[in-house]
Amino acid sequence: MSRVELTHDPIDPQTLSSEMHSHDAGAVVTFAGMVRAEESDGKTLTALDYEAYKEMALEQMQTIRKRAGEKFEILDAAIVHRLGKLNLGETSIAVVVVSPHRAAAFDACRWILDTVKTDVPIWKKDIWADGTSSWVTPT
Amino acid sequence: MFKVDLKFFGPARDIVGETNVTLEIDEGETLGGLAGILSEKYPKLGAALGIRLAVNRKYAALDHKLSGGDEIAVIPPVSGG
Repeated sequence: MSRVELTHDPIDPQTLSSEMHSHDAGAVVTFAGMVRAEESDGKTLTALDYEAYKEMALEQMQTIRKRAGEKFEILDAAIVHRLGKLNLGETSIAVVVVSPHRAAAFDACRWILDTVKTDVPIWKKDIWADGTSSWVTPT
Repeated sequence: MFKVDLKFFGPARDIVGETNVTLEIDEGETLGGLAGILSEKYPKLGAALGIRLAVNRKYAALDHKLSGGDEIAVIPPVSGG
């Protein structure tokens, strides 16, 4: 897997993380965002459907990865986001950060995720058990 | 006059009912000027909150001057992650 990727295939955060081993690393933080069960107005969530403005999303993800390298003391970082229909329990995003020290690894991982959520042109739709769907409004 | 290519994504695409639109605009038009044109052409889009515009795959300010062939994306609030 490349360090920045949009994929329609399932994401395996452990495989991604194992590809990023370094002898200078004292800390590897691996984050996986998952599709969780949800009830709203008596409706039950069955899946999420993700779409992206792919070219721009990839450029934004590259920029975020580069900025993370400038902001934090890290050796490597990866951002992989899934697209298409994801069932409950599937991984929608994986972020891996490799650093000499734990604090920088945790901080960079959190910053990357927060920035992906505000800057990268990706949208998701809630797919409900009754067959209806609705765009997710970020909070 | 020159042409720009508009792309609509996510909820913005549903509001407009189209994915790609080519629009002719006046020489010297800014992104802010185009935003005004879009909100007249698509009143529901104008009323939607938090829409950002990108020019050639980068978020741009409203005073950004447009050129022929620019790719302008209408980006409603993103919800990745």
